[in-house]
Amino acid sequence: MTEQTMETPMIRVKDLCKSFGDLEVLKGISMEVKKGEVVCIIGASGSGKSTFLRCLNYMEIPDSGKIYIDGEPMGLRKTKHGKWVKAHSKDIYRMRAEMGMVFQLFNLWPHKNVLQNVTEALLIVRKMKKLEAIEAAEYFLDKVGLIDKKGEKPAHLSGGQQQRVAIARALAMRPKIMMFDEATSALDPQLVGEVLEVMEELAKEGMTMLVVTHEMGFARHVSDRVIFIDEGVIAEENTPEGIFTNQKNPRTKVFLSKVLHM
Amino acid sequence: MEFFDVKLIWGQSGYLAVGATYTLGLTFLSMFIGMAIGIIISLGRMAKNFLVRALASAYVDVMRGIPLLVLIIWFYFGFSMLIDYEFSPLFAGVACLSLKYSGYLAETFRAGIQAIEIGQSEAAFSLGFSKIQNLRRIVLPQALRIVIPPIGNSFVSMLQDSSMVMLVGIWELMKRGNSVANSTLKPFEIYTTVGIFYLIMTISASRINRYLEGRLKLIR
Amino acid sequence: MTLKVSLLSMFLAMAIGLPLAFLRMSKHFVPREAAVVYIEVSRGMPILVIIFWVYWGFPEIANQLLPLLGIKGVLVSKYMTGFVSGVIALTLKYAGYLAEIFRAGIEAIKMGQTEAAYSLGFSKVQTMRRIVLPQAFRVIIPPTGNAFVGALQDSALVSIIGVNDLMRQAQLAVADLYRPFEVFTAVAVLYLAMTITTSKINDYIERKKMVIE
Ligand SMILES: Nc1ncnc2c1ncn2[C@@H]1O[C@H](COP(=O)(O)OP(=O)(O)OP(=O)(O)O)[C@@H](O)[C@H]1O
Ligand SMILES: [Mg+2]
Repeated sequence: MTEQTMETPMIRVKDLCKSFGDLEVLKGISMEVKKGEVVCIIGASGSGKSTFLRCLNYMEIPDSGKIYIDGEPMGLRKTKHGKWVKAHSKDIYRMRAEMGMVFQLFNLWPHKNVLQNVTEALLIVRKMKKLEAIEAAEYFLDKVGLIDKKGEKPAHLSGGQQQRVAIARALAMRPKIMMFDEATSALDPQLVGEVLEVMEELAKEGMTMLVVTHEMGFARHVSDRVIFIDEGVIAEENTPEGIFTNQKNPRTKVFLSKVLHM
Repeated sequence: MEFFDVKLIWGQSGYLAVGATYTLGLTFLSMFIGMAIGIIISLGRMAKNFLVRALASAYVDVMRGIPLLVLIIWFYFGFSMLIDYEFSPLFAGVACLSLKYSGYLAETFRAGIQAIEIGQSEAAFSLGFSKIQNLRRIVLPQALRIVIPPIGNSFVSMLQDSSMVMLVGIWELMKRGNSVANSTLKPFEIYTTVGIFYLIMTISASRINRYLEGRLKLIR
Repeated sequence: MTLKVSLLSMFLAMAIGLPLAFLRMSKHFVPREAAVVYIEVSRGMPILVIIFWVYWGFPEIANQLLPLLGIKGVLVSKYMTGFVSGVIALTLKYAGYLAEIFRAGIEAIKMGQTEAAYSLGFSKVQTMRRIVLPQAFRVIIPPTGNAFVGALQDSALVSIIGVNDLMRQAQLAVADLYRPFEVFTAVAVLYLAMTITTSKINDYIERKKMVIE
């Protein structure tokens, strides 16, 4: 039997593979993220970091491998005869709603104002009452420091503000996990700080976070663990200290020396 | 014989006006059905399945390429013969107009839907939206704004093309004009009047469309 | 016959459409507004109405008008054959469309580039010929192709006034063979062959053009 004493990991991935046509992007990734842990994923452009995150919430369907979110298999279910088959869509939707995702390009909905961007999923997916949804949305907008912008359309906000709204939108669903896919890469340098601050705050509160980032400072000082993905596999998994000062894999060193001296 | 018989026109204009209301009703109805078919076809055009995509795309090519007159005659005289069933004129007229325009409308909807960046849908999916919820709440509300002007243009063309359903014997504006012109032997006066009736409808529709287009730009 | 009617009308419509486009852009009120009215009317009028108006209406009004002008004994309806009427009607209709297409094409270029040309000492006509029209041409080709597809389809209507086009021949064949489904399906396929070929050529040119740009 499984060890009852050990806490179930929030994310557990086993032998995840994904190809696009002939292009093998993920070639067998296995990893775990414990509850409350902050894990950063680094790697060269095109190494499959986004694809990995998108597989976790089944926005990309893996070719093989298993994903467990808080112990529950994602995207697959076991039949009575013990065979794995595709899960029901509604289970995938339900599990996605428990996993927040923040995108590089914010992806706010331009036809809705800031408040509506945050309440929309609460109303439609969570089926909350309108007042309840507004209350929750306002709480999280306040948390990211944008309560006074709630009536604005996204187009009128700066990139940093838009990204903070996107974070509030994901947080309002009260997810178990937050995934960030290069949340600051599209921002002007002077706007990066305000978004990182919000993320750091979240980490301190004990949110389980999986963060794809090129911000090595964040990886080093905020995360509990760093994973380096290279050519579709995990080339190194280490503490922040270890990965920056005492690499196990020479390729990690090459990669870091490139990004750090840019 | 009077040159440009105004009295005659005046006498017939009530009869023609009733025809114009039929024309309008016919067009609204066909537009509505055409849009419903068009949305479905546009989704087919964007489907993952190759066969579905190919079929939808062939449908669009055929409907856009076939002259409406040929479609009407094929449907009302040819197809009905094949299945040995006599369609009512109204059914045949509305069916042909809807089918013909569903091809244009499908392409309009596709363009509108594809204009919405994929990232917006991804955000919705990441929050647990189902495909239908995403379509209804995120994609269509925005696409609608993009497609309203071209839908308006289709409406104006359909108003004009609805004149062809006179051939199956619907007593709309054109059929009435044709019958009056034949009985009075004053085709110039009558067709001029019929033309003016159409112009009033098409130009008003264009103006309303342009107004809506302006309003929609303001909202964005 | 179908191709002949549409090609001839399209050609005449272009010949009228281009000057009409310039009138539409004129600085002077009267020519500009006259062009606007022509364009709005031709675009808003069903082609079927125009066909009937020309075919039945022209002889009637001419028969009233000519005696007033002292001309007698000319039977206009003899000249207004189905073919002539069809071509006139399609030309009237498509001249309006093409004028708008041409205008959009020319206006898409204008401004900055013409100013650059003027600053280099080009004359108005030189600028139009060397700078504006060659570029406008590219903007104009795709919608003109679409208009041609439209004209091909609309030309089916001339069968109603007895032109011996594809549709008319089909009706005669049906009367002969009494196989309406087969005959009309064949007609539909023939039209589709023409319209889809035209569309595909049009798409091809458009894609080629994008590569050049
Ligand atoms: N839907 C898709 N279809 C085909 N190829 C894809 C698709 N999505 C990603 N790829 C390819 O998969 C590879 C990995 O892409 P991915 O976006 O995961 O990289 P990444 O590590 O996130 O890079 P970046 O740092 O640039 O965001 C790339 O070569 C990309 O071109
Ligand atoms: Mg990426």
